[in-house]
Amino acid sequence: MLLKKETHNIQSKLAEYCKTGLEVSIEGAKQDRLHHYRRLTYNIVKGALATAYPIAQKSLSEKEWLTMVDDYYAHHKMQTPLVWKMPFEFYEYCVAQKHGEKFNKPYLDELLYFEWIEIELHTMEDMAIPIYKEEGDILHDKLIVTPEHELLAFEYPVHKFKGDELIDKKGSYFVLIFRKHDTGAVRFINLSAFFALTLQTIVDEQTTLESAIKNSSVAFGVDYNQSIQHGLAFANDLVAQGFVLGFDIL
Amino acid sequence: MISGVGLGFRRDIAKQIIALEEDKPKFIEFAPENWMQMGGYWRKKLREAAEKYPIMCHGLSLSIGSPEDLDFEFLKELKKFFDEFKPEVYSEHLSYSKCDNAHLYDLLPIPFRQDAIDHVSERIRIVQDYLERPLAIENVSYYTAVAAEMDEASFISQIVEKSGCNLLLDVNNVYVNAFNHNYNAKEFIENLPLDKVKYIHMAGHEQVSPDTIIDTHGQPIIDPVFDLFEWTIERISPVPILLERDFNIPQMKELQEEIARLQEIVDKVWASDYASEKRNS
Repeated sequence: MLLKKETHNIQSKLAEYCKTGLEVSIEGAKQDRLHHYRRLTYNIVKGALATAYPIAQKSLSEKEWLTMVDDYYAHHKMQTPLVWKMPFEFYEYCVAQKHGEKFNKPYLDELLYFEWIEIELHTMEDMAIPIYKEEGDILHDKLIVTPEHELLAFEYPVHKFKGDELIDKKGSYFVLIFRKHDTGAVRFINLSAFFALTLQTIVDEQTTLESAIKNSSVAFGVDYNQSIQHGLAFANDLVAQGFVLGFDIL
Repeated sequence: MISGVGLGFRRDIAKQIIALEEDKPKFIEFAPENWMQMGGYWRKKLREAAEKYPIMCHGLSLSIGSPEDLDFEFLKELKKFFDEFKPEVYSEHLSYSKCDNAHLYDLLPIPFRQDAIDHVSERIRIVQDYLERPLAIENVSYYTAVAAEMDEASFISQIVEKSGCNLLLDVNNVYVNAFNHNYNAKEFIENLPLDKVKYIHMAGHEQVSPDTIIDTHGQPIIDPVFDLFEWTIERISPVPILLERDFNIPQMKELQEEIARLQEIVDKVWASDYASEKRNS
């Protein structure tokens, strides 16, 4: 290493000051100008997090939100060189620090994740889509779905309610969130537990709607013939909304 | 070879830039970090822009002045990105934005010291070899020097010489630094290796106190910076010029007027015999 330890230490001091804002004496630096570096770097992180998590920010008091931001910026070593990915590290950090518990916001982790996954799905690299046909038998053909999607299971309905309205709504909620292939827009659909399992089966096992409904009917102890009518309506809705792209050609 | 005046490709004005039919910038520039590993809507927009304009890339996270090792995973992704978008120039800031394994996402000043020159020059050589393309380093604005053992111009010049890299001359940054550190902007420029300038940046700034200007890219270019630009390009061979605007982005018409003013200066100076004589002398 050609850099001397002394120079490295000076650079570390400035970087550490940017992260913590704690007063520091740096050789040859104008003390009354150092604060610009703290302000500029802090504002980039604070701004990126506010943009990524507008609902979480509004669900907390300003003091709570800034406590989270300050703690994260001061103590977490941000790993990604891509600023747009950095808010995911914030989510992970907040979960690890149990900020939701500390602020009595038991829904916070899920809310942060929901806001993040919307960004991720909107922005993530395009995934390969198998060749498919647009016309087919919705019950018996294998369905080809948009690959940029995630099935979410929440304890709090963070996709429907905001802030402390969520606290007394603890339960089991399922959401399909996906990127529309044509426009790139992100959409989400509420799912019952039955259809969450059905969809999971279709995606994981690359099976037909009929087979997936059978599987769910057994799992939930309900009559297949009754379920299939609801299943057809559900699948047609997924086609209309652009989640199901078409049918397997095989 | 790209020539003329280009414009920073930012999301706020992406659609407008793509849709422009008249008074188009000659090229666009963007930070690869703001578009890498992306798909969907924005990838489509970037592709549309790339089909319409020549591309320059100006990096944010290489952190050439970091005390630690280079991030080769990042370089690998960068190379992949360049293979797809084929920028004519890849430039980066002569600063550090990552330290002790933590990104900070802004530009911190490298101490103007001999060991830093050796360290940064070696890193630039490695990056150039890995990417198989020259790097242009930009003189950055800074608000305080840190543990300096030499002046900024000597620091930059030695790095350019030792590493064999090119120079992206940010004229606004020279103006900002000259004001903030009370030196003569023209003398500073004269002390740079002007034959290595391959690209110029122009931008606006904001004066936040009687003795401090912040390089915000959030205001129009002021007249003294236009003047310094004209004086500068009289001394160098023709290179592409970029108008940077990152905040308070105005109507496209206003940006086009700024581009036109820059282009007018470029046309006047680089077409004149006077400038040619200056450069040759």
